[in-house]
Amino acid sequence: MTCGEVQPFIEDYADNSLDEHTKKQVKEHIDICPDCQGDFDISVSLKVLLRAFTTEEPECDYFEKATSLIIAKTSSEASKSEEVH
Amino acid sequence: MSDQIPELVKGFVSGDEADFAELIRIFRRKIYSVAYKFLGNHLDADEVVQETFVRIYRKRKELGNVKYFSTFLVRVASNYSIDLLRKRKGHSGRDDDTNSLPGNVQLVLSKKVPTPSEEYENKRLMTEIKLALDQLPPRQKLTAILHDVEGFTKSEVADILECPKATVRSNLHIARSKLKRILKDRL
Repeated sequence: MTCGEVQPFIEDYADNSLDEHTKKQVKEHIDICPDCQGDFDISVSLKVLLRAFTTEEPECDYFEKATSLIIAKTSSEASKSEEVH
Repeated sequence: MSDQIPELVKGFVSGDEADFAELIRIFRRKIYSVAYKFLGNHLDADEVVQETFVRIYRKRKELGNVKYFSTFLVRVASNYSIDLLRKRKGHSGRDDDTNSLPGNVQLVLSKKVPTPSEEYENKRLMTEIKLALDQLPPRQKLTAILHDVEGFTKSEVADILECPKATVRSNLHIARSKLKRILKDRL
């Protein structure tokens, strides 16, 4: 494969979502091409960076409080709906 | 856990409130996580969590026709999040092995218990990622968050965003190209 043929597959290769045949061909090229190896490294780094993206945890009782509010709201809607019928 | 979902959904559809509560408990963190990463603050993420489950409750009679409850739920949350983002801003728009990663990424992610300076650096990095994601248009941002951050497959993202898989691939490619440019000093 040439660089031009490999480039469209680099992200899928980083995602590990290529079929075995294409994966083998892409790997063979990347192993001997520093430019494509560099592009592959950047794709993997971005993947790792994004997968590590975390946000601050809410207060420890947040989820229980939110659940209670949702249930209170839906129960109230259900009661009103029953009254109408 | 996923084995029990169809039964819980069945119970919920037929009016079992305890099953609804259990579904909330199972999925609330995921919805919060997607919404927070997309909208960037607790108050909006909280609104998405509550509104998503209230909407699901109102739509419960339709859930019998839903193939995958989780992607349906994330779809409701995603649509509401996009609406909220537009309302707030106007219309402007795995490999887990870190051993072979280049400099900065490896430095920040390799320590399980960070020192204060690493913790500071980690916070700075998270802020940079957030700001980079904020520069993407809503659909590209959401595609990147769902696939690259939250780990949904391309098929699941297509189902969530109700678009062809080819659109997911294309949006992902454009989003990643932009992110590589914005975050180039970190890669």
